[in-house]
Amino acid sequence: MRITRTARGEAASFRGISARFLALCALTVAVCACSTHLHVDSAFPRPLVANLPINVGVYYDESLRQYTFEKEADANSQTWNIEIGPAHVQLFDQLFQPIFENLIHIDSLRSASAARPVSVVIKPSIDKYTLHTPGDTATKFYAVEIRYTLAFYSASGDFIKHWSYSGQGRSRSELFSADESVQKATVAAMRDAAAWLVIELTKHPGFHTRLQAQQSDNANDPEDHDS
Amino acid sequence: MRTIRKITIPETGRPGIRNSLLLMLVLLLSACTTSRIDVARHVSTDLSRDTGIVLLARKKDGGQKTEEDFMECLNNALAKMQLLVQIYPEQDFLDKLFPWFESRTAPATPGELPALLSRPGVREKITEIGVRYIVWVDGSSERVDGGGGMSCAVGPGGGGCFGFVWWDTASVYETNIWDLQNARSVGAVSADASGMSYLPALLVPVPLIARTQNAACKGVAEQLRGFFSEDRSL
Repeated sequence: MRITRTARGEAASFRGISARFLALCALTVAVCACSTHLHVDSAFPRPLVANLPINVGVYYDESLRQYTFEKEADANSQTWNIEIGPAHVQLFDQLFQPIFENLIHIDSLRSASAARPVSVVIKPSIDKYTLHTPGDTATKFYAVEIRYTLAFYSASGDFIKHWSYSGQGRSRSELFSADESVQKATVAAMRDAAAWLVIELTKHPGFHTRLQAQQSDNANDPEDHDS
Repeated sequence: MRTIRKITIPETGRPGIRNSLLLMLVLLLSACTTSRIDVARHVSTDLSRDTGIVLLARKKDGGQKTEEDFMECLNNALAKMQLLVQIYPEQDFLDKLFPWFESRTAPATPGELPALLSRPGVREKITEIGVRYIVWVDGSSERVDGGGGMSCAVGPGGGGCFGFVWWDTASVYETNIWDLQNARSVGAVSADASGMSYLPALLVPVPLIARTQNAACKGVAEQLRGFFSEDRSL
């Protein structure tokens, strides 16, 4: 009889521990599932293109370096915090270095003199990052769109023109790995946009002379060049 | 003289019986799948041990419809076969030829290959890595129909499920083989597999899954072997 009572007590105690453990697991899963911080990090390939014989300056401002996408939780999605600035600095360096004969990083857009040894200064920026979850679109895919502006400046820092373009990426939703799917969709969108940019920059080898001509014609009348 | 004999007693019966039971369980848990494979050959392939092929998932809007596990299955199935060619990794190919095989730049037809190959460095890079044939893969597996219902309950004394759920899956894939050296199509293989999966539950759910994707993968791989092995014929 004593043995039976002890066994029942142990069984009850075990059930209690199990229930607490399950509740703790459920709470942990709920907390983890509600918010995801993602640092996009990927190696980007060196483009296979002909080199343009010009010196170009590139300026990355703080808003690009620190760009982070934030989305509050809603009915279809958890909270997202996606850090994509550093990956873009890496991406633009990887793209521009093989395209231009010399790529010079500059610390400020404006220069007191026009003595910078560059033909043109490029300032890339991210205008908008959009994330669509499978719940938003009723599909099996996470979809990312990134809109960019590439602004061109003279060596002394006078605005010449800008190009607006975008990249799209999709990745299939996988069970328990939403962050991996979003990472893949983001990298795909970056590659898609980069492909367009590389082709546009190398399509017209004399584009810097046209930029300089446009600067002298009308520097204050920017022309959009959309993808 | 004393002889020591070591006698081993299997814990769960003889291996033969155990394997048979395992096989029966696998067969029991697999629902029926029907598949159809179509092959079209335009020209014969020209192969050697140095010839490389690459399997590329067709991309659209920055993403691919074809599942990564299908591509993995196809690569693994071909790697196990005695092919006369080397299989080049997809991601390495895309990176080495960036940006010319991205979703917005990849050639849609073999007719676009000459223009692509004339771009600076492209033909040289393809020659350097030794890839002669591209196998474009497109398609996916989708749940097309389904029904039934199931309810599960958990209480202090335990839990269980009761009900019956079924669904139809269709796997449709198409592969196109291009010859980069001659800028032409070599042939195509398409697979269409369908099957119904069941999930009956009387306390414990027992899934009976129709593995349509796997059937399509094996069917496509088997036909691709005809293009890239010794027994190929026009």
